Amino acid sequence: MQRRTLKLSCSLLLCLLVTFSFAQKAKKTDSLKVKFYPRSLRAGTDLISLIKSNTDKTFSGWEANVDVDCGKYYVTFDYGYLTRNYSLPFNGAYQNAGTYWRLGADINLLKKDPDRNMFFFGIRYGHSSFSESATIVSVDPYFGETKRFLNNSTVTATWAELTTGLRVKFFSGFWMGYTARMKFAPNVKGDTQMTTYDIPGYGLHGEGIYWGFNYQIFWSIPIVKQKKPMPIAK
Amino acid sequence: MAESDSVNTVTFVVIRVSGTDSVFYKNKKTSTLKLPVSPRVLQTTFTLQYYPKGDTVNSKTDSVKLTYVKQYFVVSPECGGYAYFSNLSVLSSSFVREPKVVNSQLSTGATTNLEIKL
Repeated sequence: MQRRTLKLSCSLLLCLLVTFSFAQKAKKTDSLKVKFYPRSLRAGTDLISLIKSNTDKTFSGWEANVDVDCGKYYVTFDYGYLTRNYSLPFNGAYQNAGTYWRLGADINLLKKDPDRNMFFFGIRYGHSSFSESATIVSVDPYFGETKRFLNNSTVTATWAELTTGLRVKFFSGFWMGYTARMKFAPNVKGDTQMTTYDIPGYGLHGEGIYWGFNYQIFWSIPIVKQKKPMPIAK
Repeated sequence: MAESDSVNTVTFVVIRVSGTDSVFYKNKKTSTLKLPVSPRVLQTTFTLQYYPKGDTVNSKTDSVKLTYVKQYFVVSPECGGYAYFSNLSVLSSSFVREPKVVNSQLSTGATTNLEIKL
């Protein structure tokens, strides 16, 4: 427990230091204030989920992403569906299925990029509603074979994330990029018959910090007409 | 297995565990016992037939019924699922002195869970 807390503290400290150093750098190169108002809405999807759904027999899912460009800051919302299906030893099985969402904000360190490219850090609050079931078969030398069907019908989980990533414009109105996620502090309710194994949107429960990665494609819908970027004051 | 406050060896005729036909510690002399609990139910009765101290002719039979909680979890697709037994407690006992739970988390390791004083 202490080791996990130490690992979490070190990772958080590292992320804060990196964010702080980039923020300092950005401050020096761009001294103009960027007004906070919604400029455009970008809708996207996670390509890794789509590829995995067609290549990994244990996985099926999709994720939709939306962010609102408010200048230096972006408000983000993700919504997804995920199901897992594993075979366990002695003809056992594990299955889960559910939806999840994440709400958060990103700070773009490339504030004056005319293409609205991003190198960002962010935070997220995650929530998942799902069900999971397992058939666990064990063979005991004295009591023989035991087969149990376990079902957690309504489970909810919450967690927090620190994120970082890139978005690069590759075509007019289209961006591509990745989001790396450090997920932590999972809180599960409703796992009455068995301890939750896999939380949709989060990952394996009980691993302490869990890392996630999305490779996304975005399409932008302008909300207000974009002004040409102001030249940087020297 | 202790007599007064010191650990002494006891000669067992046989030990039976509810839920299985297997017999344990048949004609064995020992001071510690390693016995299984039933994974099928939430309580197991252990019936111990043994020779009291200084008596090698007349055996005595006592039993203790233990109760526990099972929590299932999946380790990984390769390792599968397991049951974790906890909250061990004594439901009933015929021993003169009530057996004492010293560790309520059951495991296959060397941890002592129950102390019986004869």
